[in-house]
Amino acid sequence: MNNNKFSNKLKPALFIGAMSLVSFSCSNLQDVALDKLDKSGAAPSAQLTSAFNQLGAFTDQANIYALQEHSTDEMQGPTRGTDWDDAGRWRNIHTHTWNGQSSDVVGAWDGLNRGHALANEVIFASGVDKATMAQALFIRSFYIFHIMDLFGQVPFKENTGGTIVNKVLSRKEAAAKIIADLTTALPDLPAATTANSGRGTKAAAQAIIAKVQLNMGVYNADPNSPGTIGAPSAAELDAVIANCDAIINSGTYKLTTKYFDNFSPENTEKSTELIFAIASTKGQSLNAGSSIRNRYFMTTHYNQNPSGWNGFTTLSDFYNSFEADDSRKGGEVIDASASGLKYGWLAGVQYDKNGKALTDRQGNPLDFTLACSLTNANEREGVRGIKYAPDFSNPDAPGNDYVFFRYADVVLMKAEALLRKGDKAGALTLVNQVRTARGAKAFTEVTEANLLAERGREFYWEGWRRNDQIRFGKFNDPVVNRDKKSDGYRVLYPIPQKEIEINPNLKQNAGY
Amino acid sequence: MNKFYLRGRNVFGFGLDFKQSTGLFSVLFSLFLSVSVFAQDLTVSGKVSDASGSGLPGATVQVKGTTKGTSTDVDGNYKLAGVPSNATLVVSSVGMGTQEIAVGGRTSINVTLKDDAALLEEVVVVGYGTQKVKDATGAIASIGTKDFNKGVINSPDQMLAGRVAGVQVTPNSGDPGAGVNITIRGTASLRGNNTPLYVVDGVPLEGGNVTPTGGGNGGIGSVAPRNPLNFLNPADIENISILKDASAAAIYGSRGANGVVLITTKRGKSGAGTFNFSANTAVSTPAQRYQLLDKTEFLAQLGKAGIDLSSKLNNGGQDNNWQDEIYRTSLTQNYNMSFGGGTDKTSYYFSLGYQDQQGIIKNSYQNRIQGRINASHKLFDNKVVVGVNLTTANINDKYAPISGDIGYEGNLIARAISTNPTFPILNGDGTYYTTGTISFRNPVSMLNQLNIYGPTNRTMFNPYATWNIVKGLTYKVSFGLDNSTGTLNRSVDVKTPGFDNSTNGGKGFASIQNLNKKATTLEHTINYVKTFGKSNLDLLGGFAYYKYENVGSGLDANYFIASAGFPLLNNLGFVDNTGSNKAYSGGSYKNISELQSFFGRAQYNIAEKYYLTGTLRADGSSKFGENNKYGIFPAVNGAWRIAGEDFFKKGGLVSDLKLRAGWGITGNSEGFPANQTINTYVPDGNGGIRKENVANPDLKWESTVSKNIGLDWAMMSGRLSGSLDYFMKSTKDLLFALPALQPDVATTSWSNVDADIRNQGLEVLVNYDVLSGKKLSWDISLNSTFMKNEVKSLALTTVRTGAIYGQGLSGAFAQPIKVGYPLYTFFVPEFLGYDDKGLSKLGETKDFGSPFPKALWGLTNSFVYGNWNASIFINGQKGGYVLNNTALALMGAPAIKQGNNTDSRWLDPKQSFSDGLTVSSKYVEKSDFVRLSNLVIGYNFKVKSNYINSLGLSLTGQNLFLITKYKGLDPEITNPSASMDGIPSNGIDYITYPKNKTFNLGLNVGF
Repeated sequence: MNNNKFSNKLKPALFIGAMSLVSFSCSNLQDVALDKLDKSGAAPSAQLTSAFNQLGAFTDQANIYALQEHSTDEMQGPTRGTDWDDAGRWRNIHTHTWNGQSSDVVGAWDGLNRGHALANEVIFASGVDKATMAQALFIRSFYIFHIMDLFGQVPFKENTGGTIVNKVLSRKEAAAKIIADLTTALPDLPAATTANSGRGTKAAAQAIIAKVQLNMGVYNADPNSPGTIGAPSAAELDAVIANCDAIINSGTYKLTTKYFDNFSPENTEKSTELIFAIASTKGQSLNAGSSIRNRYFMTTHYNQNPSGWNGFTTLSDFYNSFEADDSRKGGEVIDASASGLKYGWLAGVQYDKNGKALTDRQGNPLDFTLACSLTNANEREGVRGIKYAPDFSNPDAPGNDYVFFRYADVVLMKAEALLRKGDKAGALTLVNQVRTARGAKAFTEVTEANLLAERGREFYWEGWRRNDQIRFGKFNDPVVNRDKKSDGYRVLYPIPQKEIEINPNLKQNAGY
Repeated sequence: MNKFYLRGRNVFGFGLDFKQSTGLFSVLFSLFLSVSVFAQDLTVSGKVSDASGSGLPGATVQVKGTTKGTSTDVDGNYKLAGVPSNATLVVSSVGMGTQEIAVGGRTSINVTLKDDAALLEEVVVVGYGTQKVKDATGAIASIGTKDFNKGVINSPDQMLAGRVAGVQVTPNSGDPGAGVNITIRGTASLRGNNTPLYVVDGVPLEGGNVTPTGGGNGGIGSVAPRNPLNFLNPADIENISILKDASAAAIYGSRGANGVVLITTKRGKSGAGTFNFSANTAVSTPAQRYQLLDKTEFLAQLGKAGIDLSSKLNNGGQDNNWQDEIYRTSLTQNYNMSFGGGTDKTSYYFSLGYQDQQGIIKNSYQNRIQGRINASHKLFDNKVVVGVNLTTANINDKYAPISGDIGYEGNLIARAISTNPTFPILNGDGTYYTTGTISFRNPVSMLNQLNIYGPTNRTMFNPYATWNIVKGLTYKVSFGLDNSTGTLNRSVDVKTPGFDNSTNGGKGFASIQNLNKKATTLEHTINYVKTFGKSNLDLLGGFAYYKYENVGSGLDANYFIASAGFPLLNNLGFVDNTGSNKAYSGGSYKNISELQSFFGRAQYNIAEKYYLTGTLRADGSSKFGENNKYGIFPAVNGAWRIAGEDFFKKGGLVSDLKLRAGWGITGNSEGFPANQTINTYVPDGNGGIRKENVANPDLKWESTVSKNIGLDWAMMSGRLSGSLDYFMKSTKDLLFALPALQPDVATTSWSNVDADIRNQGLEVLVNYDVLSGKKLSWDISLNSTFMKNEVKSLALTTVRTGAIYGQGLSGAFAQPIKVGYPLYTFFVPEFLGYDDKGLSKLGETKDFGSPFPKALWGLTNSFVYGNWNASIFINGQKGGYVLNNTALALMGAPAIKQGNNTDSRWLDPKQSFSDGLTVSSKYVEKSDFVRLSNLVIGYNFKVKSNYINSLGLSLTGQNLFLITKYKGLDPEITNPSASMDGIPSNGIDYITYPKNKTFNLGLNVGF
C-alpha cells in the first residue's frame, strides 16, 4: 500500500475522475426525427400525390359516404339482431337524428379537411410549377366542395404574403372560391383523355364548376335557414350549360354501352364515362385506411362470395322505382366461374356459383326481402346492391377505379339546367339519351320529379343522392323507415362539436 | 401492510429494541465489574439464535479488531478462547444482522440476531439514498420480503398487490406474464400513463413496453404487452419502497407524478458464503368460469327461439363443453438458487432463477430464466467503493389468442362461450369441424392453428462508484445500460376455419415484429452530511442524463401457398407473390429521446424534533419544444415529532406521535411520443409524401401539484401503531392528443390541455402485535384507502372513452369525460326492463358510477408457532363499478337467437330473442369484492447437519376465494387495450383471461 498521503488522496480522485469523465456528456436535447423526412424531403409533386391519395377516404362505407347515402331514400343500415347496431350510428343518419358528436360527422370532417390540408401544403410551398399548382388547386377545390356541401362552412387557411391566416369561408364564399380557383387552374390543367381521370383535367374542373353552379340555389340560401332552397339564377344556369357543353363538345366521352362497365375492375379501360375517379391498381390498397372492396363488403351476406358484412340495403320504394328492363337494375351474374353474385340490385333468393340456393347462418334460405326493418331486421332482410363488381381474384384490393364524376352526370346536369331555364324539349332529349342507353323506356316529358328519380336510378349509391335531393327540395321528406318530415336545418350537418370547441372562428350551424 | 410503521416502532425505541437493552445490560455489567477491571483472557461460550429462539448454525463470532474468531455449530453454540475481558465480540450471520457486544468479563454470552428485514426497517430507501425512518418527512411506504405476496409471482409489482395503502395493483388477467396496472394515489393522466416510475437499485427505468404488440391484424389481432418488469426475478428482491407524495417523489421531478417505486435487490452479507436453493411447484385452475348452458338447456332455448333443430347447423348431435376444451389445470415450476457472501471489503451475490409457468388456457405459457450478479469492492483505504449490478433475463411467452381486436368472429374465450355445445370438435376425417359459415371459428382449431409467441431478452448493467472525499462528503457516479429485445410472432395457418374470410381467403397469415430498446443512464450525485450540535444537515446535488432509443421493425406475410406443411413463421418465403398479390408488408422505425436533469435536496433537522426538507429538480426533455424544454419541480416538507417535546407525557397511553406535511410539484411525460415539436413528413404508401405532424413548439410537462398531511402514532409502547395520511393531487396541463385545428394533415395534435384532475384520499394503517410470546406470536396489519377522483375542470366537452367491444357495437362508448364527475364515470342509458314485445326499454343516459372503488383494504394476519408460521392476507374493495361488456356482447336471449351459447344468469324469460344489443345500465355492476388473496403455511425444520443450515417447507394458496355479486369472472379488471380516440378505458370487462386459483408447494434449503 502506498503511504504517500498525497498519492492516497489523488488515486481515488483520478480513478473516479476517469470513470465519470468517460461517461460525462451534456445534451442540448434536440428533438430529431430519425425515421421521417423534414420539409426538404417532401417535394411538392410527392405531396400532391398524397393529396390525391387522400381521396381513399371517400371509399369508406362510413363517414363521408355514410353522410351522403344513409340520409337519403336509397340506403339504410339496419340493425340486425345483435349485428350492426353500432350505437345507432347508421340509424341516426337515416332518421336525421345525428348530432355534432356523431362519429360519421366527425370522420367526414376530418377526412375531407386532411385532404384540404395536404393540398394546402403544395399551394403554400414556394417554387411550385404551374401544372402542379393547377392540380393542387383542383384537388383542394374538390375537398372544399364537399366540406361546403356537407357542412356549409369551410375552415380555411389563407396565405397573405407568407403569413398563414386562419379564417372561415361561408358557403357562398366557398362556392365562389371553388369557381375562382378552378378558373385559375383551368389553363394549366391537361385536356381530358379517357386515361387521365385519376388527376385533374379541364373536363374534371368544368364538371365541378357545373356542379357548384347548378347548386347555387342551395348554397345561396340564408345560413339561418339553409333548408329554404332558392333557384339558381339564369347566369348560374348558363354557366352550368357552358361548362357541360365544353365537356360534351370535347368529344372525349360517350355513355358506356354496358352500364356496369363503369364500375368494373377494368373500368379504366372499359368505361367511356370517367371524368374524375380514384385511379386504383389491383393489389394496391388505397390511402385513408380504405378500399373499394367496402362497396361490396358493406352489403353482401356472410355466406355470399365475396363474403361480406351483411350490412346496408336499399329501401323498397327506391328498388321499386326501377322498371324491369332498366339495365341499371342489374340481374346478370358477374362471373359464374367464381360466384353466383349478380350486378345491380340483389332481391330474392341468392345462389352460389353452381346455382345452389344459399342459406343464412341458421340454415334458412338466403332470401333478400324488400321489406326491411331499420331497428330489428333479421340477417336476410333488405335488398342489397352491387355496383362495383368484385374482382374475385383479389377481392380485398381490387383495381376498380372509384368514380366521382361520370359523363352521364354532365349530360343530366345540362338537362336539368335546360329544364330549369324552361327548355323542356332540350332537357327531354338529353334525359332520354341516358335512358335509352340504359335500356329504359324514353320519357315523354321531363319534370323535376322524374328528373330527380332518374338521377337516383343513374347514380344510386355513388354519393350524389343527398346533394340531388336537397337541390330538388326533397331531402327532408319522409322516406321508408323515416315517417316524418325532418327539420329543414338537417340539409347541413353540424360542425363537429370538438371543432367548435377549439376554433373560435366557427359558429355552429343553425338548428344544432 | 406497511413496514414503515413497523420500522417506526422499532427505531422510535419504545419497543423491545435489542440494542437498547443490551446497551443497558452492558452498562449494568460494567458497574458490577468496575471493582475488578483488569485485562484478562477469557473463554467465552454461548448460543447465537434468531428472533424465534432457534439456534443459528454457521454464525461468525469474532473479536473486534482481530482475526480471532469462530463459527457456531449446528445448534448455534460457540466457544471462543483467548478473549480479552474488555473486548467486543462481533457476531454476524448471513441473512441476519451484525451485533457488537462488549464482553465485560463475561464467559457466557447468548446473542439474538435479528433478520435483515428487521434491520433494514431502521432505514428506508428514498430517492438517491436512504433515510432513517424516524427522519422521514414524506409519505413513503416500504415493504420487505416478509410482506410480499407469495406463490407464483411473475413480477415485482404483483408482490405488492393489496399490501400498501394508496397503491392499487390490478393484474390485467391470469395470463402468465401479462401486464399489471398499478396506480399510486389515483388516476390522473387521460393519456393513460398512470404507471409509477420504477427505479431498480438506483437506476430509473424507461416506462414503456418491451414487447411488441402487433403488426397487421391478420384476423388474429394484436396482443396485450407483457409486463416490462418480468425481467426482474422476484426472488432477488430485498425490499420495495414506494414514494407516494410529491415531497418524496420530487427528487425524480418530471417523472414522479405517478409515484415512484424503488426496488432494492439482495446483496451479499459479510461472512462465509451461503448457498440457498428453492424449488416450487404449483397447480392452478381457472378461479371462475362462465355458467354456460349445457346441451339440453341450450337446445331447449334454441327451440324457444324458434330455431330449426333439425338442421345440423343448429344441432350437431355432440355434447361438448367448450370451456373444458380450452382450459386446463396448469403446472408451474420454479427453481431459484443464490450464493452470497463477502468480506469487510467485498460483497457478492449471484443468483439464477428458472420458472416454467403454464397458462390455464391450453398452449399458453411463460418460461423464463434470470440471472443476477451484484458485487462491490472497497478500494483505497475504503475511500472508494466500486460495484456492479448486472441482471439478465430470457423470457419466452406463448400467448393465447384472446385479442380484443381479433375480429367480429371473436377471440378464443368468446368462441368457447358462444360455440354451440352440440357441435363436434373434429370432422370424421380428422379436420376441424366448421359450419361452413364464414364467421364460424372452432375453439380447438383456434388453440392449435393460431400461433402467437415470442422471446424477450433484457439485460440491465449498472456499474457505479462512490468516493468518500472527506468525512461526510461522498460523490457517486452511476452508469446504467438497459437493453431489451422483444419479438412477437403471430400466425394463422392456411385453411383455419373462420379465417377464410380474413385477408386473402384462407391463405394464412404470419407476422414477425421486433422491438429493441436501449436506455442509457448516467447520474452524478454528491452528498454532504454534517451534524452541528443537535442539528443535522444532509445535502444532495446531482446531474443526470438519460437517453432512450427505440428501434422497431416488422414484416407481415400472407398469400402462403397451401402446401407449406410446417409452421408458417419458420419460413415467410413460402408465399405466392406473383401478379397483384402483395404478399409482404412491413416497416421499421427508430426514435431517440433524451432527458437531462439537475437536482438538489436539503434536509435539516433540529434535535430530531423539527424537520425540514427542500427538493428541487430541473428536467429537460428532447420531447418538448424550444419554448418549454425545461420544467422545474420543487417540493418542501416538514415534520414535527411531538413525542420529542418536553410537554409530551412519557409513559402514557400514546407512546409516539409525529406530524408530517408536504407540498410539491411533479411531472409526467410518459406515454407521449417523440417528434411532436417538429414538422415531419412520411411516405403515404401510394407514391406520395405527406406531412404527418404540425410542429407544436409550446409543448410542456404535464404537472401534478400534491399536498400531504400525515400523522404517525404508536400506543402501548409501540405494540399498537399506525398512521393516517391525507392527500390531495391536482393534475394540470394534461398532455393530450387534442383535436387538430382543421384543415390539418392530422386529426389530432399533441397539446397541453387546460384541465384539473383531482385525486384526494385518506390512507389508514394499523399494526397490532397481539401476541409476541416466545412460542406463539400473532400480529395483525390493516391498510385501507379511501379515495375520490374528480374532473374539476376540462377545456373540452367532447373527450370520451369507454369503447364497447362486440359485433354490432362499434362506435358505442360508455365513458364520456365530464366535469364534476370522476374520470371514466359510466354514462349509459338507464335500463327500464322489457316492453310487451320483450325488447329492452331504455331511459335517459345518466351517471351510473365510476370504476374507481371508494375504499380499498387489505388485512394481514401473521402467526408464528414454534417452527410453524402462517400468514393470511385478505383484501377487498367497495364502491366501484364495472361494465360487463362480455355479457353485453355475448350473453342472453340475443345470443341464443344467433345460435350461440350464453351464461344462464343472463337469460331472462322476459327478454325477446329478437332483442338487440345496446349499452345500458343493465350491464353496469358493482365491483365490490372480498378476496382471500394469499395464504401461506410454512414449517422450518430444526436442522442438525454440517451440510445444511436451514430447511423449510411452505404451502401457499393464491386467490382461494372471492366473494362478489359481479356476474362476470372477476370484478377486479383492467382492460388496457380498450381505448377510444387514444384514451384508454377503465373498468370495462371484455372476455379477459380468467384469474388463477393456485396452490404452491415450496422447499427452501440453505447450505
